[in-house]
Order: sequence, then structure tokens, then C-alpha cells
Amino acid sequence: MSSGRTNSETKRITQQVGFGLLGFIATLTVLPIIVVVGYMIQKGAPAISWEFISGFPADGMRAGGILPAILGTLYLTLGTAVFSVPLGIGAAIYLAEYAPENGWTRAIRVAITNLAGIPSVVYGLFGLGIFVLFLKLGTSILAASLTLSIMTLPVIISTSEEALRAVPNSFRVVSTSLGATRWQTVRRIILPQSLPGIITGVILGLERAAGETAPILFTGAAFFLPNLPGSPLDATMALPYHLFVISTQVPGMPVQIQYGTALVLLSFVLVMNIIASVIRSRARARRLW
Amino acid sequence: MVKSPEKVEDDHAREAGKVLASRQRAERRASFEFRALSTLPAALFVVILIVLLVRAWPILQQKSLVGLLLGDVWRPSEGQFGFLPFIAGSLWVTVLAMIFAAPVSILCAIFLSEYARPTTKALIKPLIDILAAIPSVVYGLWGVLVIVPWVQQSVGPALGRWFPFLPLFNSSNPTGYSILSGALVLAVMVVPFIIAISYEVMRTVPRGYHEASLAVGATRWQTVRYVVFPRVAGGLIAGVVLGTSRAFGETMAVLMVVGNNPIIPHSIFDAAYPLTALIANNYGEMMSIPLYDSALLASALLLMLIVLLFNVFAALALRRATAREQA
Repeated sequence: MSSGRTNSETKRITQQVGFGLLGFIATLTVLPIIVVVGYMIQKGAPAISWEFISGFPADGMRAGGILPAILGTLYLTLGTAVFSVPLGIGAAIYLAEYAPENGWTRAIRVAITNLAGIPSVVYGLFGLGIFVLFLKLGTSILAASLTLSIMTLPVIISTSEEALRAVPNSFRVVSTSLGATRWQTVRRIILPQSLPGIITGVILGLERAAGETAPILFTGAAFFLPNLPGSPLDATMALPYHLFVISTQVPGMPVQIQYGTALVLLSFVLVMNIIASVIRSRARARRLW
Repeated sequence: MVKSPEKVEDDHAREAGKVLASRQRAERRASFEFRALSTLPAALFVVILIVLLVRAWPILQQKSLVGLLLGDVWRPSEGQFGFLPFIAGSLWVTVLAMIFAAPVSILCAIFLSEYARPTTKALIKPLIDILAAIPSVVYGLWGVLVIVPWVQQSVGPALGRWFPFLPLFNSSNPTGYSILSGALVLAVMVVPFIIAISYEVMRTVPRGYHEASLAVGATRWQTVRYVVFPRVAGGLIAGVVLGTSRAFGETMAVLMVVGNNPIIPHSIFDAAYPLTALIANNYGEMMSIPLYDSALLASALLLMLIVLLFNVFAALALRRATAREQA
């Protein structure tokens, strides 16, 4: 080496510079986002109090609490679960355990993948057209839940299918060789084994539904309601829509309440996420394969 | 009375036949029900397309497609429905956001999967999943309270002063509600998404490739550059396209910071009006204007077709990339 450096030294330096740069970029990319979230948590924390969580909005939303919005988001999430969970898991079972590899199955898969790609505001328009107007459900918890369910379905289907497929094939072979039918195998062997994975997927799907604004914009969310909804056919306030309203459409809104509402919505998502990962890691420690 | 041995065998056989028949019935029913359950979500996709098409039909019939797509005047009360400002708005915001987000996200994913220690990985991966799950209005609020004032007070004046000759940085819009604000918020939102996809793509490279490369004396850096990267490049591009489609369809966060003015923007400090915002802001208002409802549904159809195009392209590219790996 005429330069006085050995080849391996050059290689080592290139490597250090290369990975150093990558690490620097990675830090510069991820860190600011974490800082943003931390900043919002810090700004929102002082607004959180028992009155804020358990009270009604007052003074044109500029004071008081956000109880109706919190409850509304709970109702919508539960409503979404009622429709999307059985349907999603059923579809996943078919695709993972029953579906033959033919054109029809492929078409179904393509349609479901594309369903997942539809922008959320388009779901909102569709929900308005079908559930609110055509089925005459009105702007209601029911219509909004159905709309959110359609949006959540592809997430639940794909994660559940993955969980079902993760069960080793030997489980199926053994069960069948003992004389069980396919349905018995699915119900007694495969489903229990993949349940933690399925639950994780369901939670992740519902978590997304809980935070969405655009699909409920025209189908069930209300600007302000003096009373809590009494039936699934009533409209409701909801956290994401409420946050949208108070950060764009109410002049003179105290910043603290905005950050506080954002923090409550964030905690909603965070708690669901943590539950999902606890289930996942406990199941991983306990599973049979 | 004692049954003859033959009788007992008959009884057993009959019993077994009954059990078998009921098992078969249960089996067929389960198979049928699950098939129906999986057809429904798939059918929903087709139904959504049809509903949009039917309700957009009146305007598609009365106006020429070219006129709608390339018309730059949006005055519904005078019967003028030009989508160009909205298409342009969506494109500006999305492209700028992807310029910010795509390269750094990919490099970040490469670093995580090829170099980061297992403990770092175990820490960062769940964090990125959480970031990807944060509701868009939360990012929108941050945009309104932090990004918009920053763009208005610092970035806008500074870039205008330093590059007065670049039309890209000049604008008569002093509010800060601009393409740049929208793109910044959007970039922060898609970064976790692209990192997550790229990371999955990186993992499709079999360990054997790394081992073979290291065994012949390459450094880890050379392995990444000359062995791993060429294999995943296609998949990474597909991931970026998926991110682009996600960004294109994002509604609330962008709508909150982008200004919503139906003009064709010329500078990153101009306000824009993306397609998604058009739908979210206007549906339900002024519905008495003829063709207005139909025009909004046509814009939803357009939005959906563009996003579909992206997704199909990404799916094909991803499948090709993974198929080659398995071969």
C-alpha cells in the first residue's frame, strides 16, 4: 500500500464512518419525533385533573372537562369491536385454514389488501352514503361504529391470519391423525394456540379505530352535546373529533386544554399498545413451540 | 333380552355413522360460514368502489373528464368544478413530505437491522410501533401550535431572505399555514410507517448472505453495501411507495395546517388544498348546489384510484422482491 495504510485499515475506517453516519441519521430521525411526543405529554400533564376527566365542557369548550368525548370514544371502540372482531377472525380462519390456493382466494386477498389502503376520509363518505342515509341509521354511534369496523377489518384479518399461520403444521397433522375433523382441529388446537396473537392484532386494529377522525366526521361525531348518548342511535362526541374541533374551530381556546385532550387521547392509544405487547410477550414465554 | 353379537356390531356401526355424518355436517357448515365471512370484507371493497362510482356518475356524465381533471377553477356555485388545484395541492404536500421522510427512514431501518445492538433494537422497535399508532389529530395539533408559527416566524422569512431569487421560497402568504407546514407534519407521521416496512423488508435477506459475505473477508459495511442493499433495493422502493400512498390519503393532520385555499401553489410557503381536505371540509355543506355532492364523490373516487394505483404498484414490487429471495 503506497499510501502507508493497509487495506484492512481503510476498510475498517470506511466501516466506522459509514455506520457512524447511519447511526447519526437514525438518531436525528427518531429522536425528534420522540421529543415531540414527550413535549406534548409534558404540556398536557398540568391540564389533567379529576374535573377534566369527569366533567362536561363549559364556556364553549374553553373550560370544564371532556367526559362526553372520553365515553364517546369508548362506545365507538366497543361498537367497532362488536362488528369487526367476529367477522375479522372468521375471515382469517378461512384464509389461513380452509381457503384453497386458487384464483378466487387470490381475488379475496387482493380485495382485502386494497380495502386496507383506502384513505380514511373515503370510508367516511361511504359510511355516510350506506349506513347514515341508505340504511337510515342517522349520524349515530351505530353508523360510526360500522364505518370504523370496515376500516379495522383488514388489520384484524391480516394480523389474525398471521397468528394462525404461526402455529406449526405438526399441530394440525397430529390433531387430524387422532381423528379430529378440520373444524375440531381449528377450534380445539389452532385457535387456543394463536389466541394471544389474534388478541394483539385486534387491539392494534381497535387502537387505530379509536384515534381516527375522518371516518366519524360525517357518520356519528357531534360538535357538542349537552347530554351523554342514550342509545346506539344517538350521535356522540369523540376524543379525536373533539381535539380537531378545539384546535381548529374554537377561537381563543386555552392551549392547556388542547394539550390535555391530546394527552388523554395519547394515553388511550398507549394503554392499548402496552396491553397488546404484554399479552404478546407473556404468550411468547409460554407457548408450546 | 341379550342382543346377538351381530346386532351389537350393527348398533355400533349405526352409531358411528351418525357421529360421522354430524361431524361432516359441522365441517361443511364451518367451511361454508368461514368462506362467507371472508367474502364479505372483500365484497365491501367492490361495494365501496361501486357506490362512489354511482354517486359520482352525474358529474362524470355532464362534464368532460379532461375538463374536471385539468380545470383550475373551483366555483361550485357557478357550476365550475376544476380538480387541478386539489390534485396539485395533494401532490405538492405529499412529494415534499416524502423528500423529507423517505431517505432518512430507509437509512434508519438499515442501521437498525444491520448494525444496532439487540438491546437497541428491542427498545426502538416497539417505540416505532407506538409512534406509528399515534392518532393523526394529535400530530395536527402539534402542527397548529408549533410548526405553523415556526414556519411563519422563522423559516419563511429566513428562506425568503437568503434565496430571494428562488420562486420556490417566495410567497405572498404570511400565515404559516402552508405546504411546508403540511409536509413537515406529514413527514413526521410517515417516518415510523416507512421505517417499519423497510425493517421488515431488510429482514427478508437470509442470514446466509451475511455469513457468506463475512466469510470471504468483507467487512460488515461492505456486506451491507454490496450484498444486502442491492437485494433489498426493490423492496425498499415498494415501502416508500406504500408510504407515499399513506401520505396521499392522510386527511386530518394535513387539513389542519395546510391553509386550504383552492389555488395552484407555486411556492412551498403557499397555502394548498389537498383532495382529502376538500372532502372532509365541504361534505354536508352547500348541498343544494347542483352537482356539488356528485363532484365531491368524484374527488373521492379520484383519490381512491390514485391511492390504489400506488398500492398495486407497491404490492407487485414487494412480491417480486420477496419471490426472488425465496428462489
